[in-house]
Amino acid sequence: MHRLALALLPLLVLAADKSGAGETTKDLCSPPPGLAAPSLPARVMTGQGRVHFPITTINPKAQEFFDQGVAQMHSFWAMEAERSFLQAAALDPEAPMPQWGIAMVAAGDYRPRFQLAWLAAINGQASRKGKASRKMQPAYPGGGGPTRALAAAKKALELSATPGKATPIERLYIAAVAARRDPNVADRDAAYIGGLRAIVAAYPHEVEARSYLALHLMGGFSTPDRQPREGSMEAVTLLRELIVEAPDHPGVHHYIIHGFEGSTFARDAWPSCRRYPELVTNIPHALHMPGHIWAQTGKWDEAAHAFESAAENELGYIRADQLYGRGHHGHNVHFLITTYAFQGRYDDAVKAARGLLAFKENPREQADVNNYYTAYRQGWFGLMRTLVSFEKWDEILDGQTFPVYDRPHEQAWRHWAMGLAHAGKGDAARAKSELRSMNAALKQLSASSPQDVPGSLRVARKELEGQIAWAAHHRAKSLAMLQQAAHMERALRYTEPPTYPRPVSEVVGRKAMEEGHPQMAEAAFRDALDQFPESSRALTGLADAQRREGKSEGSGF
Amino acid sequence: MCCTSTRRRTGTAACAGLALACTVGLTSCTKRYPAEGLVLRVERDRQTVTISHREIRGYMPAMAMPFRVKNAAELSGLAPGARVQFQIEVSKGGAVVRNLRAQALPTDGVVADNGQKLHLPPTPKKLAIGAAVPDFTLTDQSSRPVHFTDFRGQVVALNFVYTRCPLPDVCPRLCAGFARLQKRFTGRDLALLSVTLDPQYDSPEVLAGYARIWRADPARWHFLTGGLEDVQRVAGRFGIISWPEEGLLTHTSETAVIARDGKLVALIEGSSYTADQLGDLIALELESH
Repeated sequence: MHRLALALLPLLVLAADKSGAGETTKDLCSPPPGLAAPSLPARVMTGQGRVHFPITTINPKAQEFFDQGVAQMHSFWAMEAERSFLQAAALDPEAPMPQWGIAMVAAGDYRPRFQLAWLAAINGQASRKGKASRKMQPAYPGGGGPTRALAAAKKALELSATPGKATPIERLYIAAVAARRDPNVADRDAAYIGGLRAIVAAYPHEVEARSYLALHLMGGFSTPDRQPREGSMEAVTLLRELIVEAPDHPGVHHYIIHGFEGSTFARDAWPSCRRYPELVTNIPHALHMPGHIWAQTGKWDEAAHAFESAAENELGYIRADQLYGRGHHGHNVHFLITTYAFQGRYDDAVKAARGLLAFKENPREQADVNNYYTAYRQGWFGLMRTLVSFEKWDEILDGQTFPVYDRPHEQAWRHWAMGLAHAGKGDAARAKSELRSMNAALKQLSASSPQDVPGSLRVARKELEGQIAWAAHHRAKSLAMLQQAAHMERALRYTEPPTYPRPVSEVVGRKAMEEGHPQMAEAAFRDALDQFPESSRALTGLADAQRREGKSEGSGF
Repeated sequence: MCCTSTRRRTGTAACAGLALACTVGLTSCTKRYPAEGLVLRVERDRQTVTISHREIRGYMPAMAMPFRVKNAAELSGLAPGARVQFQIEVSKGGAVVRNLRAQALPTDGVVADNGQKLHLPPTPKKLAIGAAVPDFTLTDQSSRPVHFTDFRGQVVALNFVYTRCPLPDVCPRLCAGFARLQKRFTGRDLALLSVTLDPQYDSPEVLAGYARIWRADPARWHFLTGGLEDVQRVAGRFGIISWPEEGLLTHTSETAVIARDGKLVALIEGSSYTADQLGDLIALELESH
């Protein structure tokens, strides 16, 4: 019924009739993305990871598709997981657990707790600003329909009430997800966690429930001190236990990567970074995720390999089906661009960025000024990140290399990059002019967006002010401003790839060197390396600073 | 009160009777009925428009009939296939159509959709009504090449669908409409063409399965596929705008009626018109020569 209602939503034509006759309607097959259920049957796919979650069913094929759905869920492939669960449900309509699976994935919120908190924070900004939150898009496309999830939870409850159709543990699983979907429950997250804890209490060795619990407990780590937020260490403990008991479980490896990223012990996830893509060879996200850990622990070659593998795998899906979403590919390749930039691979970074720019935005993507996550926009940002990282001032200013994307968010960044370029070439006046243009774009962004201006743009403005001061020969003032910008940048919320184009500390280090302050430079480069270990530019800078100080390279590091 | 519409009347006689009642002074009033329909024919010299309208509550059931238009300027730019809203004004002078307004895309291409303003791309190659449809070659559900010129001498109805469409009120509705046409015009020189917008997935084999669902007679109803560029070229000629998203294609809908000489007679926008309305348009064309 929901889908039918959506289909009937008319497109209202704005300003259709200059005679003032008002709005007319137009038919457009246009439900919001992610609200349509998968329409094709599932097929058995290779490389999805092996998980066996025995359920009550009369049909072995239903069990097979159910297991596939669980495996896909563990790699956050919501659309395919839902398709597999739907197939299992079709094969055994009286089995409650396929409905449980749909209830788990269709809402698009089977993901780490800290990501959900981040989205909730953004939506909270929208509501604080009194603007419609319907503009909000999930960070990654493929969200799915909460209505379908709720309907499936109800169906699972109903089916499980039939004697013999559900085991006690299945009823507990169903109760947990039903609590999460129940609109009458005040704190649905707490209710879901409570439901999972009930399973674990009754079945202490239940791997599935403990893995879901770990995923939903992980609150991430604060910045810049990398201290665990609530729930994070309980999740880590659970995962350290699980990996011993289930060393080939794809979800456990996946959640270790998510659960450890941003922490002081991210390196502990290295074994999972190696094993996870061996277990799940044909899901782009599974090939991509190890790159998160590799990148933040200075394993740039491994990171590049992870992102390249994911890109190749995902392009196969994209080429095979025009209805395959491109948002994840944008995220993956954006991270690849970032990695290349840290490796010092300018040409590769630019080539990868241009690859994303080839994915032109559709009208819905163009209309959403707040969706920075389209493949095109990630390519655009990746290109800017690269040009700035390599200080390609002429290319930024030539009007050719760096395309204009006329949206407030992107215009703010473009003016920032152009301001840096002018300042870098010693033209403080033009850099100031770009700062004024950046401020105008930020004002427009604030007015048009339900969200607050991103923190990274506040850092950017501060950095540009510092760069302008440098160009105007106010060096001490400039260094102080740049250090302040670096401090602000370190406090930005953890995201991957980092939302700031490149560490401001690198800039501080180079300026300090130029000004004859090698100790300040060394501290700055160490700070940059603390953020991004083994960054080629920071390593080079550190070595220069140490030489200037008369230290041997790498001393004390 | 007068011109009461409490008694159900049907057809032209009902309309005429009501007008007569007003004319002979049994009552002295003007009553207006909101209505909507599909334009079948426009006769500017007679200031008349023939509309296949939906039920006009309290006045007449759905039917196709000519109406005199009060304001001749409202016929300007109106073409067969236009979906219109209007009022029927009934008085002692008779029944006339007023406030005739056609649904149309705004010239700037800006539409509102789910809280967003979408800027639809222009369709510069869209054919004008009366233009000759250029030949094209696609492949049907039997894997046979189909040339548009093969249908010269037949009236052609052409729409755009894709088999994975998850929305019952769009592609399945369009196909259901064609299925009704196939039945209504059995034995007539009418060809039905359904071009997929998802040719990458909709192979001839997939289309053959889809055609079976609709009980399509392969001799009369061709589901067509081809290379993506070929399909997009054909779609562009009929003003179709589409783009892929995750799990679905967003697209506009246009249903074309093409005369026996290969000229475009009508374009109906959207999918919410009725099969009977499209059938009325085709019937008129079938009878026209």
